[in-house]
Amino acid sequence: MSDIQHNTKTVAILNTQAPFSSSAGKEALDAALIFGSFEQPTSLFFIGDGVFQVIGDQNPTSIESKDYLKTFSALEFYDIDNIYICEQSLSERNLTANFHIDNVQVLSKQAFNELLHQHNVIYRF
Amino acid sequence: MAMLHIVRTSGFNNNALAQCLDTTLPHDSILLIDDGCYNLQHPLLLELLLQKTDIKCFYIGLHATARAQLKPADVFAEISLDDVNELIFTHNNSITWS
Repeated sequence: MSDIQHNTKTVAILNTQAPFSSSAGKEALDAALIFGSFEQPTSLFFIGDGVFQVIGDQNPTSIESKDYLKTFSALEFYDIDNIYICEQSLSERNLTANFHIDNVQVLSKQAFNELLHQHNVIYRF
Repeated sequence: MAMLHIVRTSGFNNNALAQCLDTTLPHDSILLIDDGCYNLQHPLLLELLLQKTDIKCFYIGLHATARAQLKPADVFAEISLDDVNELIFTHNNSITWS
């Protein structure tokens, strides 16, 4: 039997950019789904303008932009339930906790940072 | 868990540095490479390093001198590219801000 110990690395995907002006948000979501399909423990973090990706009542088709936000609903099928949002980023932008995805956790900056630090691999988009 | 924050862009041009500083915790380190060396003069970084003495900041000398970023404040430690590997392995994880 192989002696190699398969310790699973935890992945954090840190979203820092708004949804439509760049492809960073879609690429981050794609990366999360790919990790999820390989059953890699993956968490999504939203900070700064990244929080604009999760607010509700958006209408990307009105600006002829591809509505990748709908794909967020696929996260649960890939067992990606750890979705964290920076509370300070929301309040800085005068945003309420009205999200288009379920089971998100709004965290204080300290808690957000501590959780991020506990992941083995961190990708920033 | 000590994290290494690798900063590759100028804080005068985008908010990556500000976000990086926002996510630091005690015993983390910051490494300035490429255009990140312009941050050797950035007030946000200087202020943080003076306030939080348990956070260390390194910069790649070659990249700084190439950009005429000379004689930075004493809070910065110059390293070479060879030292970067060791720096990565002495931290639990790393994140690149670019």
